[in-house]
Amino acid sequence: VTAVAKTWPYRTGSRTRLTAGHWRLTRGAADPVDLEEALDDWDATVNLRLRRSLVLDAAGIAQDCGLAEGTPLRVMAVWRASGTSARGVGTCREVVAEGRQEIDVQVEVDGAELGRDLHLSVAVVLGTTLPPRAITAWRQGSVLWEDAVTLRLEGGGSRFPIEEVSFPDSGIDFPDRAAWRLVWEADDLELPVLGSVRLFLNREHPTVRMMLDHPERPDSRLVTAFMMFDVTRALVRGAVCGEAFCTRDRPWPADSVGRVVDRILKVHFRGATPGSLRQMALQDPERFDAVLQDRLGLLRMAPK
Amino acid sequence: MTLYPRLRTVEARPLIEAALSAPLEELQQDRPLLPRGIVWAPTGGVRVSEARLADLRELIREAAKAVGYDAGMPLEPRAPEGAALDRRLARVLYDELHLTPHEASAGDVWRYFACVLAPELVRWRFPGKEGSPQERFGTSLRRNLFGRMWWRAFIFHEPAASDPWVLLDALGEDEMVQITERPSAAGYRPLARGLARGLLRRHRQAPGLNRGNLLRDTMKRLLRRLPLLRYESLVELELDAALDELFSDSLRAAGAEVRQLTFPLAPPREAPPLPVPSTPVRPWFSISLTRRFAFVNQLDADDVAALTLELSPVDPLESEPRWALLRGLSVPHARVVAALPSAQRLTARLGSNDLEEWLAEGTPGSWVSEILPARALSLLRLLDGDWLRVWVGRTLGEAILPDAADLPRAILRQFDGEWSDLLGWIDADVCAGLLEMFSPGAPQTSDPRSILASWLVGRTVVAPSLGRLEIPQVDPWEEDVTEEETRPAPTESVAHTAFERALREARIADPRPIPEPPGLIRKLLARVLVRSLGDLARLDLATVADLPGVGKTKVEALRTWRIEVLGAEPVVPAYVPEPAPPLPPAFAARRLGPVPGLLQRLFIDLGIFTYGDLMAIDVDGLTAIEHVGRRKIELVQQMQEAARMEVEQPPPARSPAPDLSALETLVLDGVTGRERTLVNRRLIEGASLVECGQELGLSRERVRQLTSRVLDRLQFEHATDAAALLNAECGILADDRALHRQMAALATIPFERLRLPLSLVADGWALVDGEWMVRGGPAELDRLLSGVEEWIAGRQFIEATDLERAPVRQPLLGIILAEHCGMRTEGDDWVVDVSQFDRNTFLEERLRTAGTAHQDELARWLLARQGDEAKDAEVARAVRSVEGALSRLPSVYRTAMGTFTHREALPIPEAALARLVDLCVDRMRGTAGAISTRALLDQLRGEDDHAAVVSPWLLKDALKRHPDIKVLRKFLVGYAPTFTEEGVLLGDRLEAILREAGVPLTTQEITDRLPDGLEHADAAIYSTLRNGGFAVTAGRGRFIWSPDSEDRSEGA
Repeated sequence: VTAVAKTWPYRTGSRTRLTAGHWRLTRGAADPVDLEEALDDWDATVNLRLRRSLVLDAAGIAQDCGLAEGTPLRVMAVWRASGTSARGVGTCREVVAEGRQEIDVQVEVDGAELGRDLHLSVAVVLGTTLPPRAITAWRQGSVLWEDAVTLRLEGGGSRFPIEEVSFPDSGIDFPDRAAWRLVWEADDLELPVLGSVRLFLNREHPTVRMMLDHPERPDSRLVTAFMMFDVTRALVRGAVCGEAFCTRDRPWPADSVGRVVDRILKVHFRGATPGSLRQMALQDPERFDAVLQDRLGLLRMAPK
Repeated sequence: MTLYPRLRTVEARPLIEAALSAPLEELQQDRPLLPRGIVWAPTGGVRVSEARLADLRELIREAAKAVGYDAGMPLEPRAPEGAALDRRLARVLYDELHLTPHEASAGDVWRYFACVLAPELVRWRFPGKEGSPQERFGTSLRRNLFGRMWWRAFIFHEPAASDPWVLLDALGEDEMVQITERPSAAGYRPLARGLARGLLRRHRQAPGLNRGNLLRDTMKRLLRRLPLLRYESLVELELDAALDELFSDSLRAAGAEVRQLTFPLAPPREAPPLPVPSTPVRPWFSISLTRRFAFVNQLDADDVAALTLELSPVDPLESEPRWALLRGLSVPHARVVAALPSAQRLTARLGSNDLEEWLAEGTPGSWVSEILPARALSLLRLLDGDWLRVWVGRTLGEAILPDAADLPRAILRQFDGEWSDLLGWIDADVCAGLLEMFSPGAPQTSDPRSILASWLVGRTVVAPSLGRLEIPQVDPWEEDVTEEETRPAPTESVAHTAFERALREARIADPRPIPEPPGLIRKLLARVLVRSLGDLARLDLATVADLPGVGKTKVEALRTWRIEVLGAEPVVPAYVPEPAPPLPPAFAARRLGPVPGLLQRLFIDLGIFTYGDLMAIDVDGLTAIEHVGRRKIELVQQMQEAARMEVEQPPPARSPAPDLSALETLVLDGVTGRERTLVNRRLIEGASLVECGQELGLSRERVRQLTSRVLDRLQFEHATDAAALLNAECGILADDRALHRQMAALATIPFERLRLPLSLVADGWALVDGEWMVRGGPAELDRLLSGVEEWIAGRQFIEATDLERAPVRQPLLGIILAEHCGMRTEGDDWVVDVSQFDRNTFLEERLRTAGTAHQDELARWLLARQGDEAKDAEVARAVRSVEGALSRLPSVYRTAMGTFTHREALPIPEAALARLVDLCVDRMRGTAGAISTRALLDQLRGEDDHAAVVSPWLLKDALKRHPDIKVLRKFLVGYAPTFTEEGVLLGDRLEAILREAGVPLTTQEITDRLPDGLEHADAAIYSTLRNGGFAVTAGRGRFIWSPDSEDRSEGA
C-alpha cells in the first residue's frame, strides 16, 4: 500500500480530530453492511446508499488550522466515479467550530452514473470566506480535513449477460411460467460471450422476482447457485457434445464461448481431454451431470 | 434503460479502414445493423432492437440533412455547418438514446455508432485532407463524433431551465472543449454549467474581449484551486459567486474594467477574531552534541518512539518519532544534523503541520532554515511541489523575514546561484502557490512563473522549462547588501569541531563514568542520559527543571551532588562559531568534477555536490559516520587539499566556453573533423546556423543537416537533448523529460567509457551494469532496500527463480542482496543465508504428516508458505523443484505419476518391499538380464504375496534405489544389474543379437514400425528373443516376428 501524503498551502486538521465509523452500505431493502473494498455483484441498475457516522472535534480542527472557535465549517460527503468521471455530493451540513459533535453523513448514488471505481470521501471545509491571512485557509470551501476510500465496482470478475424480461409479454417463444431461458449458439463457439450468449430471467416468476429483489437472502442464493449451475451445465454439455469443440486444434479467440468452456474444463477437469468428456456426456449423460455437480460444488453450502 | 451494441476492436479495424477509404456513396448505403462481432453490456438494461436502431439511423441522418448534409454533395462541410450538426446531433442523441452515463462511458458503444450506424456522417463532419482522422471513429469520448456530443449534451443540458439547451447553443466549440475535456471540471455538472453561465454573464460586460481567451485564463485559475477547494460544498449562488471571482480576476488581468456583481448570498457570518499564536515550547532538554548525533543515528524507530514518549509525554504521537527527537536539536548543531542522511529523508516526510508546530518552537534558528541555503537543491529534489510550497513559505515566510512584502526576493536570495535551477524545476502551479501564499487575496496571474522570473533581474535565466530569458538590468540584490553579508557562510559547519574542542579544553568532555548518585536523582540522571563526568558538567539545570515530574528538591539535590563530584560549578564555554576562511563564491558554487568511486555513495548521502560543500566537510566528524574508514578520510583530505591549492593558485583563466571534456568523454568520441567543430560551435557554444555556416563555408541548411546527422548518430532527438546533457555536467538541472532522454542517450554509451557524472547519481539515479535505475534519491533507494529486506524476511528459502518475483528489478536487486542482505552468488544462483531452514527436511516433514501427497499439492503448499500467490508458471516451476528434491530423499518413494509416499506410509511393509527388490535383482542376475517392470511384476505375482498389491510405480522407484540396478536408456526402459555380463544390452549389443538370430531388421526399424507410444521395444525384443522370434506388445500395437513369417503390425 502506498501512502500518499498531501500537503496544503495552509494548515489542515490533524487526523485524530475526526473519528469516523465504517461506511455502511445499503442496497434495496437489505440491511446495511460494512463497506468492503469491492462490490462483486454490482451492476449499473443498482443504486447505492451509504452512511457513515462521524464524531467531529470541530474546535480542535479550527485550532489546528489556525481558525477561531465559532468559525462556520461544513461537513460533507462527496463521491466520484472513475468510470464516468461523475462527481456528486451527499450530505453537506453546516457546523460551527465548537466542541465535539456527532454527525451522520449519507450519500445516495444513482447506479447509472457509476463505473469502475467509486471514490467516497468525507471532508470538512471552511463554510465561509474570511479575511485573507497567510498559511491559513480563508476561501469558502477550502478543504481542512479529508478522508477518502475507494470501492471497486467493476473490473474484478466478469459478469454474465443477464436480462430480465417478462416472459408472457416478451412476444418471443418463452414459456410463460419458466424461470429462465438460456439463448446461445452451440454451433458457433467462436462468437463472443457478450454478443451471443444471453440468459433471460422471467420477471413474472415469483422465485426469480425474489432472487432479483432480495439477492442477499439465503434462498435467493440457493436459487442463484442452482441457476448458474444449470447455465454452466448447458454450456459445457452443449460444447462438449458438438464436434467442433473436441476437434479444435488451435486456441479459441479471446472472450469467445469456446474459450469460456475451455477454461471451465481446464479448471474443473484437469487432465481430461475433451474427447473423453464427450464420450461420457454422450454415453452416460446422467453420470456426466453428477460429475459436473461434484466438480462445480453444487449445493455444497447448505442453506441456513 | 437501453443497452446499445458495442463494437470490438478486432471487428472495428476493417470497418474503420473501409470507412476511411470507401467512396461516400458506398458508405451511405444501408448496411446490416448488427454485424458479426457485436457485443453487449452483460447487464443494466434491455438490448435495443434492430428496428429501433434503424429508426435512430434515420433520425441522425435527418438531423444532418437539416444542416445541409446532402447525400449527393461533395465532402466539404464548412465550420458553421459542422457546429450546427454538432448541436443537432447532441440533442437527438440525448433525447432519443435514453443512455445512462454508465453505458455512455463505454467507448465501444460510440465506436459502433461511428463505424456501423453512420460512418458517412463522420466523414462529412471531419473531412480532413486524407480522410477523416481515425480517432473520430474510435472509442475516445472526447474525439468520437457521437460520444463527445452526447456527453456535451449530458453536461450542459438544464432540464429545469426554460430553454434546456441554452448553454449548448451559446457555447462555441473551443469553449466546450475547454470545459468538457477536463474531467475535474466537467465531472461535477453544476460546476461545468456554472462556468458556462459565468462566462456568458461576464463576457456580456466586456464584449470586446475574446471569449475563448477569457475562459482559457479562467480555467487555469480554476484548476489551480480545485485540489484545495471543494466546490461541491457550495450552493448554487455561492458557486456562481466563487466562479465569478475567477472570471473577474481574468478580466482584470486582461486589462478590462470589472464591474462588481452582487449575488444574493446570505450575509457572511461575522468571522471571530483569529487566535493568538501559542507560546513557543522549549525543547525538552539538552544533551551533548555527540550524544544526540549518536542518538538519532543509531536508535531504531521503536526505541525513539518509546524514548520520546518517556521524555515528553505531552507530545502528540509522531508518525516519525525520530523527527520529534531532532526537534530537540538547536542552532549550532543544525548543520551536523543536516548532513545526516536521515535528516534529508526526514525533511521529505514532514507535513505542513509539523513545520508549523516546529517553527513556533525555535524561530529562527531551526535547522531546516539553516540547511536551506547550503543544501537547498539536494533537498528540493526529494520534495514534491506541494511540499516546496509549504516549506519555502513557512521557513522563509515567517521564520526569517517577517516582512512578507520582501519575501519573493528573499527566497531567491536564499537560493542564490541555484535559483535558476529552482525556477526550471518548479511548475507553474507551485509558483502560483508561492505567490498566493505571500500575498493572499491578490489577483492571480495566469502565468505566475513569468512574475517569478521577472524578479530574477539582471541575470540571464537558462532553465529548460523556460528557455532563455534575458532580464533587464535592475538588480534588487544590490539594495540590501548588508543583509546579504550577514548571511552565514556555508562553511560554518566546520566550526562545530572547534566548539567541541573548546568543550574538551574546558574539561567538559571527560569520559570517566560518574560515581553512584544518591537515590533521589538516580532515575533522573538516567533519564537525561548522564553517564560520564563530561555529561554531568554539560547538563543544563534549567532545562532539567523544566522536565515534567522534576521539582525543586531534585534540582537542588542534583546541583549539590554535582558540586560534590566535580569540585565546583562547571562553566560551559559559550558557542562561538569560528569564521572559516571565505571561499570565492564562484568557486564554492562550482560542481565537483569526477569523484572517486569509493566516495560517491558517501558524497551523495551527505549531499556534497559543489566545492563549497567539499570544503565544508569536517574530516574529524566523518569518523562518526558508519563505514567511513581511513581510506575515505584520506581521499577527502586529498580532495580538500587539491581544492585549497586551486583557490590559492587559481588555474590560468579559461576560455569563456564551457569545459568540453565531459561532453567529449561522454559522447563525442566518434565525432571528428568538421563535424566536431560543428558540434562544439553549434551545440556547446550556441553559435547560430548562419555563423557556423560562415566559418565553415557552408550554407545554413547544410549546417542544419550536418548537425542533425551527428545528433542522429549520437542518438539524441534534438539539439536540446545534447544541451541537457551538457547542462547536467555543468550543474543545471534538466526537467524530467529531458533528463529521461538524457538517460536514454547515456545508456547507449558503452559503460566502461562512461565516467559516472556525480550530478546524475545525485538525482537519485544509479548506473548499474550500464542500466539506469532508481529515480527518487537516497530515500527511494532506502525504500527499495527495506522492501527487499521485508520480502526476504517473509520466506524461509529463496531459489534463483524466486528472485524474479522480488520487488526490485535486476540487477539492482543483485546489488542490494549482495551489499545489504548478506547474500553471495554461486554461478547464476544466489546463495541465501536467510535461515536455518532446509527445504528438503521441510518437505519430508510435510510428507511424513501427509503420508502420501501429489507433487502439485506440495508445491502449492510450499509456495503458500513463502507467501506467494501461486500462478501457473510458478507452480510449474515449484513442482519441478519439489519433484527433484523428493526424488533424492532416501525416505520418500515415488508411488505413481507425480505422487510421493513417505517410507512410514508405504502401502506394503518396508521389509516386504526390500524383499521384492532383492527378488527382482536376483531374477535379473540369474536369467532376465534386462527386464521391464511389467514383466517383473508378472513373474513375481506367483512368488510373493506382496507382489499383487505393490504398485508398479513404487516397485520401479524402489528398484531404482538399489545400488546395483541401472535404468536402461529410452529404448530399453527396464532394469538391469550393472555387473552381470548379460545385464546391460545397450544399442549395439542388441543389434548383434538380432543379427545372430537372423532378424532382418534393426531395433530402430522395428520401433519405427510399431504404433506410437511403444517405448519398450528393445527390452521386449530382448526378453522374448530366445524363442527364435519375438513378439512385442505394448500400448495399442502388437508386433510379431518369427523366422517363418513376414513382419507385420496390427492394431489393438
